Amino acid sequence: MTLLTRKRFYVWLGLYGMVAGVVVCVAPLIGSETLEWGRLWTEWGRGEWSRDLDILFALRAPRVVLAFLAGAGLALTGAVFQALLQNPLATPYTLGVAGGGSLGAVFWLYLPALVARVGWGRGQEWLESVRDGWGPFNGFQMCSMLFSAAVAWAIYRFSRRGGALSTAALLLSGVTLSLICSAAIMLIMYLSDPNDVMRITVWLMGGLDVTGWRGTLSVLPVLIPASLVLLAQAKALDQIALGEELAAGRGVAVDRLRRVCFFGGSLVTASVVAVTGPIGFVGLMAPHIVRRLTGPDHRLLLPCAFLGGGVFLVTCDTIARTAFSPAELPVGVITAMLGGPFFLYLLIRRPDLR
Amino acid sequence: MTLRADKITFAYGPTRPALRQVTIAMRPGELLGVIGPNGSGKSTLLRALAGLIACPDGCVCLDDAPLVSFGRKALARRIAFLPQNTEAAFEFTCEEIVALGRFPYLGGLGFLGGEDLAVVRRCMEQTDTLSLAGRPLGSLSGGERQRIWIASILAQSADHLLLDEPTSALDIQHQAEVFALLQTVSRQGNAVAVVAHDLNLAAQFCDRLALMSVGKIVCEGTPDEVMRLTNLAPVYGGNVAVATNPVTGGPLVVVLAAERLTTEPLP
Repeated sequence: MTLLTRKRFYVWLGLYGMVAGVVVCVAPLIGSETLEWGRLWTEWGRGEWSRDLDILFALRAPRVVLAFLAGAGLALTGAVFQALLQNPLATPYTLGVAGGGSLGAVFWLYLPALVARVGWGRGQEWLESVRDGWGPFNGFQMCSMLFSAAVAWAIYRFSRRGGALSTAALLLSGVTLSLICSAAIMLIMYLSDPNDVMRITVWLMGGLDVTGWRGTLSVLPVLIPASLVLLAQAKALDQIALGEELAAGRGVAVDRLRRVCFFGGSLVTASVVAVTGPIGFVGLMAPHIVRRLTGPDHRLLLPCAFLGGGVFLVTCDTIARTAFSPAELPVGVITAMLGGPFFLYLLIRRPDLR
Repeated sequence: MTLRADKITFAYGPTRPALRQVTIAMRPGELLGVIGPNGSGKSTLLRALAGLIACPDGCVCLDDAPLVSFGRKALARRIAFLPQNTEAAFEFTCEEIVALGRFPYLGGLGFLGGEDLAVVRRCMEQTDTLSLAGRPLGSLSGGERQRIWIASILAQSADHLLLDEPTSALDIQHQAEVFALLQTVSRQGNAVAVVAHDLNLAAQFCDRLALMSVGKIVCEGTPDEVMRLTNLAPVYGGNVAVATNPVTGGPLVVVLAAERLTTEPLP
């Protein structure tokens, strides 16, 4: 019996939830600095704030939570885009929004040099005043998300055909805008001095270096509502996987679904990329692995991909932090080292992939 | 209790009208065959009847109420539509595909209740696909796959079924099986309309035929009334002949020469 009943749903969800809970709780305890448990407990009991507690709660915990949220959001978006585009190789970055976010971030890193170059006298002052940003978002993130929004809007405008959103046009304009953004990033890197090039390169690898909770918390106000909206589309996405006409005949508002999924997925991607940079392969791999375990039914796949993606990225980040400690690898290296071979395996095993 | 199109007109572009003043009604318990050459508007008519395209002129009505006055899901509970060449993008199992037909009845998180499961089972029994339940759709033969798709629209529990060329890409044996299945479904009180290219099969199984040409229904009636040389020749070109089928006693259409068949617009 492979049908989705209430019991099957809760059993799988409980299983994923338990694994996610365990991984998120255990990951902060692992790291290059060994925590001394006895001392930790006594200090905790006395209400003292020690170095170990600081490492645990101000450094590792926000990082682990960020890794979980980023992995969860990217995996969910990947699963949604794969159904929306009816293409198993789609990722959250396929539709170009991440390219815009990256360009925005790189542009922000280049801004001081640009201001100096054009000789705008008050420019540096102005930059200082916006550096801290607004609310939970700092200037860097806001710049990144602004570019993401601009690119998403452009893709949307280019993809409307006779009042309806065309999937083919979405894919083509997304990929094209992504390439344009990459070219712009290359131009900025060419114009930058070596120090900035280094910073840009490191950022483009994707990473989860956050200090304190601000970066982690800034993901929440966008990621959580957008994810809930995406999760609510599960039933309809099952139908769209059987073709748009069939779905429409079953009572799915196909065009509305496309718009909701495009903008929901773009919001999740933009909010994650603004903090972590473009971490690759989570959005491709996690949905595929979860689909192998739980089947293609999106009502189960989407929540499980959310939890599974989080677990996957927390695990990769823990490996990245500890494998060559005290040095840290970019987490993108680990996800790609695991994801690349899996991608190739998919290509070899499934010659019928469209 | 019927689905009816009343003088509907539809065009895909300013230059290409697909339906011109088409009037047709489906009746409960009847298998209606829509026949005609490629591009004559058969699929468009089916889409219009399913409420998937909005016709600027005329009206498609269900129980005398225009389709646009129904909600999407309410409509899907009355009309089930199987498009041409349906495929699944992911590796669903057969019973999952059939169960997806319950979409218009699911609320909230979309769990299948006891009644839904019973319907799924009944539809799979009826299409003789119960033994395929756990298999991935991709591993099935063409005929089995088509039976699964039919089971999946049966699971929609609609009393109007519209099928666009469900027998294309099937061998003669499986084509006949599909038609026999649709006949059975219609005998249970459902109104079934099917687009078909095989005139002889359509004549053998359908209760009524509608012959289309260049966006119009040029002839409608029982197979014996429609399958006449005077009706078919102008639509399919002059190279067809109609004989009596020695086995069934019904009409038998034969194409005589391999000359290019033309569809002449009728006055």
